[in-house]
Formats: sequence, structure tokens, C-alpha cells
Amino acid sequence: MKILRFIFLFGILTWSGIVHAQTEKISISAQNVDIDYIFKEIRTQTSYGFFFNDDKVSAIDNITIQKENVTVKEVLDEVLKNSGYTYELVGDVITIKKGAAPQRQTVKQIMGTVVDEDGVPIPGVHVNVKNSGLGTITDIDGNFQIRIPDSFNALYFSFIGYEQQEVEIGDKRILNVQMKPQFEEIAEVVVTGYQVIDKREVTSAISTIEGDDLDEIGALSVDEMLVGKATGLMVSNVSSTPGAAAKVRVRAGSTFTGNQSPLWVVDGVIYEDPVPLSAAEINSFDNINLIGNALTGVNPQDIESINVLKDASATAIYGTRAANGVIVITTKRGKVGKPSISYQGSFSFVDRPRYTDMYLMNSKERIDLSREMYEKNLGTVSSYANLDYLGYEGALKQLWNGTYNFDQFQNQVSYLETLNADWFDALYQPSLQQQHSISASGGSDNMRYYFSVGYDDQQGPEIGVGLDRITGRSNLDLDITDNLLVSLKFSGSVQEAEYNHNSINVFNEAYYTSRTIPVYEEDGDLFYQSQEIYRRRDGTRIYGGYNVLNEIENSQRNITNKSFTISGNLQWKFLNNFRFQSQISYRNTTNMSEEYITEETFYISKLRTYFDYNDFDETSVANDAMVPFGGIYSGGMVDQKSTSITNQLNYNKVFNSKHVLNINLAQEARSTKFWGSTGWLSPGYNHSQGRSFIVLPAVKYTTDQSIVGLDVNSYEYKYMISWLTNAGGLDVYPSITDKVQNSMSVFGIFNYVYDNRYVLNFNLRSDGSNTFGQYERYKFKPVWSVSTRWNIHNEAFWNNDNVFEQLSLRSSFGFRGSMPNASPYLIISDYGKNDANYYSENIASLSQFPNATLRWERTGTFNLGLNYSMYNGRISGAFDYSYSKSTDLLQTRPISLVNGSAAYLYNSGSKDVQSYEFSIRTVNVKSKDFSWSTNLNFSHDKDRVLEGFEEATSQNLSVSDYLNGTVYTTGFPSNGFFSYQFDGLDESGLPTFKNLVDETGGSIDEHLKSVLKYEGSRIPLYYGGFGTELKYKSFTVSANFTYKLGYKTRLLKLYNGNQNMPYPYENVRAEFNDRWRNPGDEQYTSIPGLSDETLLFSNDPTSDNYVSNLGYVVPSGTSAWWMYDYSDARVVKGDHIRWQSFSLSYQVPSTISEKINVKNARLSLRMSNIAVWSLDKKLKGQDPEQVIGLGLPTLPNYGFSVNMSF
Amino acid sequence: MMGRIDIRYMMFLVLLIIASACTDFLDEVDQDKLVPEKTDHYAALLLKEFNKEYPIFKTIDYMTDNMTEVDYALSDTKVSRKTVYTWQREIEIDEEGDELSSINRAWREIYEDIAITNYVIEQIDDADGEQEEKDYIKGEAYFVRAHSYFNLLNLYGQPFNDETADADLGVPLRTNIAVEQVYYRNTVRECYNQIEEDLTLATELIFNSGIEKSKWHPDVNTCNLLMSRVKLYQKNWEEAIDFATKVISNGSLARMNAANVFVTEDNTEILYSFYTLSPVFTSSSQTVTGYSSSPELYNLYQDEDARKVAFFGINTVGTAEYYITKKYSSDFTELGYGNYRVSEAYLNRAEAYAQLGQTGEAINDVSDLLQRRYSDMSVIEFPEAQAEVLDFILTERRKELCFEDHHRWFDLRRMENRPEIKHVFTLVNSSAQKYGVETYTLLSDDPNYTLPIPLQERENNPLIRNNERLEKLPVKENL
Repeated sequence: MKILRFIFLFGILTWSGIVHAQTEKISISAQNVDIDYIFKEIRTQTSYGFFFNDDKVSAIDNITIQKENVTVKEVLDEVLKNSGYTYELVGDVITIKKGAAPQRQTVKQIMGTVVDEDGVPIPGVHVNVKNSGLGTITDIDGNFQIRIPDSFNALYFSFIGYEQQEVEIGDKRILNVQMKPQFEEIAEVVVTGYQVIDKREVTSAISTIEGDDLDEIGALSVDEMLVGKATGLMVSNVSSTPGAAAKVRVRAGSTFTGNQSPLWVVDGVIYEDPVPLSAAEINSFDNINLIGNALTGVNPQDIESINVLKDASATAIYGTRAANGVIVITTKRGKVGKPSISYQGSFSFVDRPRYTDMYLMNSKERIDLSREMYEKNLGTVSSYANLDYLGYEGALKQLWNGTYNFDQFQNQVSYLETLNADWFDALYQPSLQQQHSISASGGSDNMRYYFSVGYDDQQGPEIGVGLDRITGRSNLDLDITDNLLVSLKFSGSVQEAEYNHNSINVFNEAYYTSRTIPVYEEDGDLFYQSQEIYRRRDGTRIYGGYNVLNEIENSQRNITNKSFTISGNLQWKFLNNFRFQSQISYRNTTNMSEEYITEETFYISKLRTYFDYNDFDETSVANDAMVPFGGIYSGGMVDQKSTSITNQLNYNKVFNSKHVLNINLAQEARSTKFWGSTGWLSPGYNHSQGRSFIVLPAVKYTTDQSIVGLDVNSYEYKYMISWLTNAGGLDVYPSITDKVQNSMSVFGIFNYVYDNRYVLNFNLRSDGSNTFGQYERYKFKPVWSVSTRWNIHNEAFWNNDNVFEQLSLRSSFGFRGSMPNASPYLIISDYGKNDANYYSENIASLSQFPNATLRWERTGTFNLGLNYSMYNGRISGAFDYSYSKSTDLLQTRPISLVNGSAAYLYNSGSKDVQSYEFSIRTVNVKSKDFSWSTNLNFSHDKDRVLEGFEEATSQNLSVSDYLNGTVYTTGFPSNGFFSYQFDGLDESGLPTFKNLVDETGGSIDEHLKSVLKYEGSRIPLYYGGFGTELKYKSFTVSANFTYKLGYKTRLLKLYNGNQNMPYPYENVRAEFNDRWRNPGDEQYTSIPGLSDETLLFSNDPTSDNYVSNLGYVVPSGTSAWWMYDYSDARVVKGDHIRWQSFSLSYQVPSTISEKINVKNARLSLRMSNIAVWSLDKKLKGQDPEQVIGLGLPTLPNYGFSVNMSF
Repeated sequence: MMGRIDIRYMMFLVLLIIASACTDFLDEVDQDKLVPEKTDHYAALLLKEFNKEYPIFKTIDYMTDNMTEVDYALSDTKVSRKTVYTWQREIEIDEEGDELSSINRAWREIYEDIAITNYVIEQIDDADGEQEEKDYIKGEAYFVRAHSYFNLLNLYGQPFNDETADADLGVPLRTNIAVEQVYYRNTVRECYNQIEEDLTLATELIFNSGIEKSKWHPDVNTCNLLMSRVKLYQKNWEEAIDFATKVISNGSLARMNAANVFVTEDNTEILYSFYTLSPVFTSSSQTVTGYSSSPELYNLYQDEDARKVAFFGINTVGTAEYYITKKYSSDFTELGYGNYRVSEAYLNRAEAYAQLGQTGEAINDVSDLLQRRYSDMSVIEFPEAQAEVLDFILTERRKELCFEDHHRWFDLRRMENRPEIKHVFTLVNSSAQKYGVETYTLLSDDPNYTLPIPLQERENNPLIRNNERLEKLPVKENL
């Protein structure tokens, strides 16, 4: 053991690379110490190393010595006097041995080169002499040279990432060694953004995902590639649209009204969202964020590893930003060695959705539906004029008006029955995606670099959607001197995306358009159906031609995101134990968007009051045309700048080689600014003529001499003026964003390790921020955490023959926070001389009272974890249990009006989360040619609202909030949702619901509770992934699956819109084939029948559709048909397993690849989102992650990729 | 090499940088919102939120003897104000059980203004601007707060009674910017003390600033006038006289002439003018809502009294005539609908003199006022006995201040034993047929002289004590 210790110390010496000098002077003063102490002092003060022939030497003790500025010789003479030991100086090594007179030792010189498996020299390899403290390291060319006493006969070579090798010297004087890479490379460190921690000393709950695991999938965005990869991390892809941000939650999140997404940190720099969207927009599972999120512009190929920080101990260091977890991304950095260039390219193909997956009616079924409508004499809603004679209804009309005879009618119907127009084919495309990335890396002793450029091109599955992205990164590490390291990082990206106009919902169009409606005319032109665009004041209806493809053709939405990040990092080591580290970063993102729709569209026709110029009517245009000519253009730009500076002072000291103390004191300031304008809409856009605007004609002066001024009355486009006012409903004025968030923090990290067995960690951080309430701003309330780890496997009692080579117990407790997103200031508006009464004085309105006492939201977390590894790493993994309680959650609460307002944002809510996590990785077979491994991870987040919204009506919550699961109900999960209770069909096949009429006479809230039924959580309570990997010689096959369990979802609506009867051009879901048709059917089916009853509700107690508390219990204007879609009859279990990926890759043997000068080549075939198995049969092919109104969450992807390095 | 001391020094330096950078850095604000910085921002806020959007209890006069219903108007038209007109126990719930959400809104609106004044008082010293300006605005804020609490107290607090004022419930006092979920009601005495304290500060600050502003802002006289009113309400006759005297000696009365607009910038009788948004009555609205000025009030004015024409118009519907007030019309005011006038000081002082038995001084004051109102003083018969003098003065007060601010209702509340008032409500169906007459009575000393705490307050703040009020059932007569 002792020898080992010296080797360890010797290693440190060698590293410091000090040149010896026989003349080195030392000072020493000690009383009653053992000889180890003296040796240590000599080592500390000089460049000498020691080795012993006899390890009893350390038994010498009780030494007292007092010397100033003397040579080592003098000290040794004194110390070893009468000890029975002598010493000898050989080069810069001191040999201690027993015996009176030093015998002349013969010394031999060994030289050699160390190379890697490819024959590339490895610098920095430790070369140690067995059974001695002697050693050296290889130089930049992998060469080493060492003089050793003749009696030693073996060297061993060690280097991180390679297996240690022992070589007999024998008679050889030149030793060339080839190192073999370590097979099971265990990640050595965990990066938290502020610290790099030895994995064996981690006390917190952190999931690490290594680059290799990430690479497998070939995902195009970072959030996408995290699905099912780590415990405690739930990722939901709500849309297959390129650029759509996934919803990411770490251990179910911890806030109600704040942003529930985790904090993203890339190489120590916090990445903010490019546009300050409201927390509700970001959180909602009913909203797609196409604008871009923090990770837009991060190239997955550049990622080395991802660490998910989950518990308080891991995240407390991020203070008030950390309550929802932190995800730390580390990018690749250069390694010492020759330049290496690698190329990674992939091509993939995304299949379009098909009718076979959709459970929709085909033409024949749809005709049958219409036929029944007419047999029952029901007809469609009166305002619809079937001008185009569409569908069965159209054919029937032709028969009735004599255009068709009965045979012609029959022919037309059978034509329609077999038409089966393919709207999914028309609106979706099998799309191609490609991705290329080139990187160069390498370095020498004092410089290491990594450069990369990446290019992605993704076509959307929807037509008219696509995304291009270019990314670049340069990471440079410079060793200015031995103790000064400077790292510079630059990265940038441009992402240009093209989407459809926000008025077009492509999925709904494809889904709900009847297959009896052709996409094209026979001659190949688009088929336009007539729909009402305008109703004149005299009651005449004006129609326009509608085909969604025409709308798509003549409109567009472009979103460009640019980002640019610079960071500089300086590390200065001084006084042996101190390190000063400073990081300055600047990140700038720009989000630019434009959207236009031209006058060629149905959408604009509605605003123009006519479609065809034949329908032009001057009065209508003057009175009702919002956009009398041209289309509409809108645009916006938001710029985000964040600057941060972090200074850390680190003290690291090893005492008696058993106690390791590490202290970090740090200070940080950060500022984030958002600036821009968005949301303005301008009419008169003329796309075809050079993207210009048609300007409105000037308003003429009146000719009437008695009136002076503009003659607005005779102006042609009167209604246009309402565009400029708030009556127009369209906003011509932009909204300006100019926000700033500043924070100032201090923090400290204290870490103590005893004998690699016990680890104690304490973190403390305190923030002040301009977004805190004015009384809280300077209070720098601290968050803290304390955590421990017990490495049981390092205990003496732990038998080394035990199957476990690692078993560690972790525990942590601490607090973290999240910043309130509300203004701490009194805000006024409309300041100015804008009141004639007070013409010479300014007036101003109160806009908002400050939230002067707002505090951050606080989350306390307890975590207990176990890491294990057994059978030499054959089985490894971790268990974690955690309990988090968030208090002071912000909620708008009713307060006494005495405060000046009736509601106030209050730190009042609370919730708790219990998480159970488990992961296991097994290497089942491991041999030279064949290996097989499997992995599984499982997470369960049981969250519960402890104090939520008690009384919905006083909180201005509507029943929709209950139906959508956005109400935080005490005692329920935070994403718990509710449904109406379907009470079967009545004898006419109409749906009925329970408790619509309140008979108890209680409050509205009580009535709401009796009308609604609790369904469960909207988001999965159990989730995770499992996979397996097989390697045989050069082939690797892997498959990964993810699962989400314990949640519910709604089936897509039976048919679109809120009317009771489908229009001839609308399609209906196939379960409608099992609808109620005849009295008595209500015994067998729960699908309502056809009916022309509007089923609108009324608050008149005598009405058939009476509902008490209309407007609260049922939103005004909705009908029982709408309620049916939101009833428990349409709720299904969302539990599913998804086959996330499958890949087959082939490592080209070096014998072949070297012929084409490629060092390393790998070819892979990949598939992702291959299949989904739902446990609830009622889903009938609907993706359980699909949300009403948002289109498809994922689509199958088949790809091919090449990795090469030169 | 850096020694121990150096490291400490370095850390000290870092801390120093943090501390000095902190304040500015953590005070930065979003630029897409206007955070008041300049003194004028605060002045503008007070002007709009209090002076312009004066939070009057809009149906205040419907409870007084100055208003009566229009008998032919449909019940449906009259129903929205009926709960107040008939002093119902719960004024926010009508006969059909529907909620009248805006009828009892003054509580909330007044407290909003109080909250604003609290912020102004708290923050004005840190604003950019001259010290004088800060003093003035702070003074104005104190005045607004005093006026607001005065209104609140007389709407929702028990009427003043010197013997029980230390126990009678007034309204919650909030004089800081802390936010509490619940508030308790302070006593009537505490409320009056707060009002007087605020007024004293307002007077001092405005006086010391030396600034004179337009009539939209209170001056020292305005503060003194309100103080004399506050003293009068507390039956502190001597001090009421003192403050009224200050006003009178610094101000003057103006002759009223029905041909000219009375409330103007140039009229020296007007000290302070406020309330310019959404008047309680517009000339067209009065009969349309089904209520009008009471003929009894109209008949109190003699023909020689200029106020008869200056204050009233007549709407003729068929053969019936209805009196409507012109206090909210541009014929009467070019400024706001609420005004502090020197005439009130004369009335305050006259009343106080009369209470003290100094009937001569009392009559002198009233006579001074009436001289500016009557074309011929000889038609007036001034009484001599103390009780009659007091009655005479109170009637003059009613005539002079009718339909202004909350005056009549507040005056009724502080009269000896609070008079009994009867209100008649004619039931008219949708085919304009009268089918019944209901008579409601507000009893002498009726607890319904104090308004109920708004429903929302009681809901949000369950600990607040509501005012106990009587159920009001009509004496019904079928037609």
C-alpha cells in the first residue's frame, strides 16, 4: 500500500515537470514525526523522488529536526544517522536502503515509444517502474526515456482510456508498446456546469448520457434524442413538424404558473429561449412552439455528453433557476494527437401518414352516412348551399332538379362511392432529410482544438414545411503556461424554417375532408368547393372557391433563428492548492419571422367580401372589407442577449492522503435582455409584384366649404379604418418587447472526501434579481443543499471477492428555487396629455400594482440513491427515490379588495412529487467477436397538488381549464383532467350527460364537481426506455424502445366543427359506422345517431336542453355534440410502448478502409419511430401522444448514415 | 507568489465590486413598460385615477329624499337600481337572484385609489424632480387618501357617535403597501384620526411646497375645507368653525346666475374640481332609468332663487313633468362634476354656530351665501329660534349641495336620529300597465343607513364583519 501511495505522489511530481537541481535548498522544521513526513517535505520543496528497497523504512519515527536553507543531503544525513539505513542520489531519485555503505548500483537506460491501437503515438502515458516510485511520461511523440537501477525488471504503462500494460524488460533496452483501449469505458467525470466531479464522488442524482448513446439515434434535435434515455427525464414530442420544440420535464417539474421546462446549460453557458413566450404557452401540451427554443442551433453531433441534474444537491448551485432541473450539455473538445477529421452524414426518409392508420370513413361509408341523412329527412344546416353539388347530397340535388335521371344519379353515387380521394397524399409528402457534419480535432501539449460545421436539411411531412440549419463550433484549449489554461469557444447557427400560414391546419384538413371530394379536377386543376365568404346586408350570400392546396400555395410563414455564442474560460492554478477560474460568456440569438397570405386565397376573400370580381359590390367593400385589396403581411423580430461572468476560487488539498478537501467560492452576474417587435399585420400586401404593398388612396378634403377637413364619409374603404382601431380585431400595431432580467449571485461548494469512502458535500447559493419584489431584491436569500455518499465497496469489511465492485449509497437534501415572472414595479400606461379636460396636464393610468413582496418559488428535495456495478461491470445501474415539495408557488389568489385589487399573484400554492427511478445495464455476453448488452430504465413521478385552486369560479377558471387539464386541483396530479359524464343515448340516439341540472342548489363549484368526472393524468406517470445491442465482429445491431404508462388521452373528435350534422365535404371518424340508427340501438351503441337537433343549451328551466349555471358548467354557445367529444366516452388510456429505433451498423475493417486512406469507417442503417403499441384498443391507430388540433406527433423514419474519420 | 493576505484582499475587492454594482444592476427595469420615475408620472397617475375617474358610489342619491321614481317607467327598467332605492339588505342581488356586479363597486375603486396614494407616498421621494414638486405631490396623495377614507367611512362605517366611536366599526385602514389576504375593520375613531392626520400632512406639504396648480389639484384651502367638513361630521363645532373660517378668509363667494355656467376656471368660489368621467346623471339618462329628482326638493327653491333654474331642468313626458338635475351638465360646469366650493365653508360654519347657539353668526353666514344666490333677498324669512335656525341651515345645505358628491346621503346619516324616508315603487309590466305600488321605508336610525360590505370582499376576506342590515319588505297595494 505504501509503495502505491508513493507512486501516486510520484505521479504528481512527474506531472509538475520540474527540472532537478542538486543544489536545491530546503527548510524543514519538525518534532517527533515519522520519516514519511520528512520525505514528503523534501518532495514538496524539491524535485526529488524516492524509492525504497525496503519498506520498513517508514518505521523510523520520533524524528526532530530544525534546518534552514540546507541541501537535501544535509537533511538526509541527519535523519538517517543511526537508523541503519543509507541513501543514494541517482539522478533526481533518492534511493533508501538498508545497510551501512551504499553499494554502487548499476543503472540501465530504457527508451521506447508508446502508440495506440492505430499506431498513433500517445503523449502523456505514464511509464512506471514496477515496485518502485520511479516513473516518467511520454512526450508529444509518444517517446519516453528512463534510467532505472538494474535490479528492476518490469515497467507498466497507463493512460486514461487504455488498459494498463505491464512489460518485462529483460535484456531489452528499447521497448515499443502498443496500448489497447479500455473495452468498457466508464465515464470518469460528471459535468455540472460549474464543476467537474469525479464520478465516484458524485453525491447527487445525475443521469449521464454519453455521446455514444446519443449518436445511435441520429436525431436532428437535442430534445428529440433524449426520449427514453435517462431516468427522471420525460420528453414528449408533440409534433412531427421540423423545428417544433419537444416538451421536456425533469421529475414532473415544480411550478404552476412558471415555465416548467428545465434550464439548459451548454458548456457552462445558460441558453435562454430566443423569444420570451409566456410560461403558459411553453408549458401547454396543446400548443406547439415553432418559434424555437433554447436548443435551436445546437448540433447533436457536437455533443460529448449530457448530464441531467435532478435533485437539489445537483441543482442548488443554479439557485433560483433550478427548480425544474438542469440539463448540462458538454460539447466535444480536442484531444492531444495528430489532426483527425471526421465526417458524419445521414440521409433519411420519413413516410407520410396514410388512411390505413387513421380510422376514418372511406367514400362508401361516407355516402352511406349521407344517404341515411336523407332517408331520415335530415339535410345539412340551412346556411350551407351545396352550390357545387358535392357528395351524395349534390347528386341528390341534381336528381331532384332534373339534371340527372335516376340512372345518372345511381352512376354518380357509385362513382363517388369508389372515389376515395387521398387527402393525406395531397397534403403530406414522403419527405427526405439529410444531415452532414464535419469536424476536425487534435492538439499538442499546449493546444487542443475541435472545429465543426454541420448542415441539416429537413423536409416536413406536411407540404410547404421545411427547415435548413447550418451550425458551426470551435472549441480551443490553450495551455499558456503550466498553470494557466485558457479555453475559447465560439459557436453559431442559422436555422431557416418554412411553415404554412397559421390559418391552415393541414392535419385537420386531411383528416376531416370527405374522401368523396376530389383534390383535383379531371384536367388536373385544383378542385375548388364553394363556401360562404360573406353575407351582404341584404342577406345575399357570397361564395368563394376553397381548396386548401391553393391556400398553401399562396401563403407562407418563415421563421429564422440565428444564434451566436462566445465564451472564454481561464483557469489559473497557484500556490499548489488553489485554482482561480473565470468564465465570461456572451450569447446572442435573433428570431425573425414573417408571414403572408396573398389575395389569391379564400382567407383573404373573406376579408375582401368577394371572391370573384363579378361579385364586387362597392357598398360591401366600403362597409365591411377589412382588406379591400392585396393580402396580409406580418412580421417580427426578437433579439436576445445574455451576458454572464462567473469567477470561482477553488482550494483543493489532500491531507495525509486520506482527507480530500475541496472548496469553491464563486460569484456570478448575469444579464438577459430581450428586444424586438412582433405581431404587426399590414393589409394590401402584393406578393406577386415584387413583394410590395398597395397603399390606400388618400382621403380627399371635403368640397363643402362650410366643413373644413377630411371627407371620411365619401371614402371608398371606410371599414379599413377600423383596422387602425381596436375594433378591427387585427392588430396593425406591433407589440414591443424590451425586457431585462439581471441577477447577481454568490455561491460556495464544499466537498470533503475521506479515504474514497465517505463524501460530504455542501452547496450554498444566494441570488438577487431585478425580477424579485422590491423588498426581496437585495435580500439574497440563500438556497442550500447537503449531500453524502458512502462508497461501500471501498470499505475494508467489503470482501474483494464480492460480486459487487461498486456499491455506493447517496443521499441529499436541499432547496432550490425558481424566479417569479412578474413585475416588481408599479406600472403605469397611457401617460401623456391625452385628455382635453386636462389639456395642459399629463395623465396616466394605473396598469399594474407591483408585486412588491413576491418571493421565489421554493422546492425542497430529498433524494436517496444507490449506484451499483457487479461482475466486473457486467451489471450496473442505479436506484433513486426522491421526494420534492414545492412551496410558495405563485398563484393568482383572491384577496381583500382593501389591497386595491381583487386578486393578487401570491406565493401560496404547493405541490409534491415522489419519484422512483431505476436503471440497469447488463453486458450479457462479452467475447472477442461477440458481445450483447441490454439496458432498461424506469421512472415513476407521482405528483400531487397540495394547495391549488380551490374555487374555480372565483379564479376566473373556466370549465375548459378542467377539460384540458390546466387547472391545479388540490389533491390531484398537476396535469389531472376532467370530462363530462356521458349518460348513454336517449331513445332518439342523442347523447345525454349526467348532472347538467343542478338539483342540490349548491354553488357553481359544487355543481362543476358533480358534472365532471376526474379522468386521470394527461401526462405519463410511468415512463422510460429499454434497448439491446448486439455486436458480432464488425456488425452492431441495436434496438431501443420507450414506454409511457399511466395516463389518459382523448380520442380525436368524431367530426370537425360544432354543428350536429357533417357537411357534404366533411369526413367523419369510422366509429360513426356503429352509430345509433334505429330506436332500440341505444342498448348496443354509445355512438350518437344522426340528428338535426342543434342541442344547444339553454338557461331556461322549461327548455329541453336546460342546464343550470350555463356559461360555467357548459361554455355558452357549445352543444351536446361538442360535449360528447369532451365526455368520458371519448377518453382512452394512453399507455403505450414505442419502438423508438433500430439500427444496423457495419464497421469497415481497417484493412479495407486503409486502402482508401480512411482511418475508420462505419456504415449504418437506421429506422426510428418504427411502431407504437397502444394498450387501449379504442385508439384504433391514433397515436396516443397525438393531441387534438396539433397533427401528428411522430412518423416513421428510415435512414442510412456514414461515419468516417481520416 | 501570492500570500495569504493577498487572497483576502482579492476577495474583499470582489465583494466590493459586487456590492457597488449591485444596486444599479438589480434595479434595471423592462423598457416595454412604463415604471414611474419622474414626479410628473405620479402626478399624472393621481390626476387620472382619482381626479378624473372619481370613485363615487354611483347610486348614492337614489337612497336619499332627493330622488324619486318615475311612476310610468317599466319595472324592468327600474329594477337595476331598485335594490339601492329600496335600501335592500343585500344590494347586490336583485329580486330574481341575479347579481348586480357593479352596484357596490365604490369600495373596490376607492381602495384602489388608496393603494395608489400609498405607493405615491412611499415612492415619490425617490423620483426625479424638484423637492417642492415632490412635497406637493405627496401632499396631494395625502389629501386623496383622506378624501377616500372619508368617503369609505361614511358609506360603509357606522355613523359617527362620540360615545361609541371607539368601538363602532369603520373601515379597514391600509396605509402601507404590504399586501394582506385579509383585513379587519378599524374603529370609526381610528378612521377619523387617520383622515385628520392625512389632512394635516397634506396641508403642511402643499403649503410648504409653495406650488400653485390648476383647479384640478387641491390647495391649502381645499384641505381646510375638507377638514372643516371632517370636524363637522364629528360634531367638533369649534374646530369646524376654525377651519371654515380659514377657507372663508382666503376665498370668496360668487354670484350664481342661471344664464351663465357656474363652475368655471375663473370662478373664485371653486377651490378644487374633480370627477370628469362618466357622470352619474346625464340629462337624457335621468328619466330613462326610471328615476328623477324629487318634486319635494324642487319645490324647496323659491322663484327668486337662481339655483332653481341653474340646478334643474324639466323633462316633459306626455303630460307629466319630471325634474332632472343639471349638476352633471355642461350648463352648470365647465370643469368636473365634483367641486369644493367656498359656499360649503359658509354652510359648515353656519351649522356649527347654530349648534353652539350662536344663531346670529349662523344666520349671517347663510345670508352671505344666499345673497349670491337670490335675486331678491326680501322673500326670505330667516328664523330666530335655535332649532329652526339649524333646520333652516340644513335645508339650505341640502339645496346648495344637492346631487354633488355624496353630500345629501352623508348629511342624512349625521342628522339627529337619522330621519325616516319613504320610497314608492310603482310596478309597471312590459305592456306599460301599472299593476301595483310598493312602499318601502327607511326607518329613523335604520341600520340600513350603512351600506353592506361588497359580496366580493366578504368572499375574498371571510373575516371581515359585515354591517347588519334589515330586510326591507314593501307595503304593497294592488292597482
